[in-house]
Amino acid sequence: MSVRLNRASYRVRSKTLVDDVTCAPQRGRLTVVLGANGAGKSTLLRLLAGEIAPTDGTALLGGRPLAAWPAEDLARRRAVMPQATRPLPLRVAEVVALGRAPHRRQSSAALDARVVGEALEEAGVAHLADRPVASLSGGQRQRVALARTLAQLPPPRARDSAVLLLDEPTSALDPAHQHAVMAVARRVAADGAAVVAVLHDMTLALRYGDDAMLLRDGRLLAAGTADSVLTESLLGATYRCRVRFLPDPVTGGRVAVSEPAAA
Amino acid sequence: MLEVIRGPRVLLACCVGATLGGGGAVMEALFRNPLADPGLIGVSAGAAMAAALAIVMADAVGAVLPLPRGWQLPIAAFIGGLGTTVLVYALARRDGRTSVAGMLLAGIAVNAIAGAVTGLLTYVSDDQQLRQLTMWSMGSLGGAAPGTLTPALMLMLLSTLGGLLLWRPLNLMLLGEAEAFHLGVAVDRLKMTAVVLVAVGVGAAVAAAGPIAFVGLVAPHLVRLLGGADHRLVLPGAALLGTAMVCLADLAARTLVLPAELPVGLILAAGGGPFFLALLLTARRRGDLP
Repeated sequence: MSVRLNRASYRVRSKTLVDDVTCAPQRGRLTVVLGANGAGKSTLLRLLAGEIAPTDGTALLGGRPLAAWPAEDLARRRAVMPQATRPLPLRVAEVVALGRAPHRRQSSAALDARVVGEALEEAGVAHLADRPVASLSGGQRQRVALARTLAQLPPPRARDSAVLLLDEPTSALDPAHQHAVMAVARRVAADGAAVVAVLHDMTLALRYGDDAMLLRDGRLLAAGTADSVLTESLLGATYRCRVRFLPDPVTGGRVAVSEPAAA
Repeated sequence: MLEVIRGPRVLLACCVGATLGGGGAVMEALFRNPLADPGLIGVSAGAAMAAALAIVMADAVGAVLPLPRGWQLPIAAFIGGLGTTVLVYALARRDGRTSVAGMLLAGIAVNAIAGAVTGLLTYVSDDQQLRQLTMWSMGSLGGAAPGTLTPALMLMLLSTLGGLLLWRPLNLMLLGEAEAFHLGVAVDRLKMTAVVLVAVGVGAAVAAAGPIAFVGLVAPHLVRLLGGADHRLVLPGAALLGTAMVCLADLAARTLVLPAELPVGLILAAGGGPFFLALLLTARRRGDLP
């Protein structure tokens, strides 16, 4: 089961936030979405999540319009990681356990406890389990959001019909945790899920993306495999600045640097 | 005497307290605002306006609602409360979605308009009506007309028990509206269910006992201060605490100035206000509050 947009547009009054986008993030792959501020990345993610319905075109999951899915059925198949968990007066373990809500009819208390424990470990917040979320830093709350999202996903063996959407999952994280979160995203993709991550860091995108979508002014500028799409010229056009790749002699990978367009 | 006078009165106190306390907890969770209380969606102001109409323009209201003596005021108050809530809800709806901020603002505006109409009616009332209005607006558990009590109790019970069932989606709403939807909550349906439940219950409470402020705001706060934010605990806790508050206040109302009787709303505000303030200050000293 996969999610797709067919010529989807989203307009609010006269403003077009997403303009005629067709895309189908592949199962088993990590698709990175890049674009300047206001290019429509978050709106695209909300369309894929079923949170809003396209004003033109269609948004489908398994061939059925997302809006026609009962919210709870949808929540068992697709999870969305927000940029951070609000500073709530709940403990971390309690917040992560909220991720099990859509599974309440199929799951058991023992299974829930095990999944929550694994999610806390995988997101690197097990040591914070008993802390109130309100007492955590922004980066820690971002990892709590990841843990809650992982607890919501189906078990690894059943992930080939799952969709995981990540909204700038590394925006508040230090470098070590940025890699840790992207490694988790890759693992979920390796389990068979379609994973979509909005990113701002071109180097992270080069390193972890299987596929890529570039958005500019609400339109899809380019989409395809990361190798074909993440190029100096296309990224430069996406961000309206100069982008150069430098080889990393240690890993053999590439590092992206940017310069002002006028330079 | 216990069965005929005290029994129904204590039952009414229990139901009014549970409805206001539980309803307050539901509203705070729905609006994700600790200052939201059932009055915010216009129930109390609408009911007060309709009650003022029923008192000041009794003949005209009697022509529209040909009801036995004693039924006119509670029925008018109930319809007024529900009608105002429906208006607030309709004003906040756009493109099939209900905005919480819109409901908050529409609620404030509609409350102001209803308050103005009530004020106007108070201004044109004669001495006898003025006294009746004033007494009604301070709340009393002794004035319910025979026969109106049973339907009011049923509606309040329905509202309170229905509210308790919403603990799971209301917990998810703590995370935010979008997150609640991501986790499987049909958010717009939840909003409508919660608003209707609270409006029906609080409408019945106001109709039977007048506007009793304070309980809906304070009971959920106290429970959260003591027991955390989990609605599995907050909802029944706020309902129970509301019950205790109204019962105790009514006990004081009946016994403090024997043989006369104080308005229960007055007792709640006079006794509960300082108590709540003391609790807030203690919590701040301990560092539980920002």
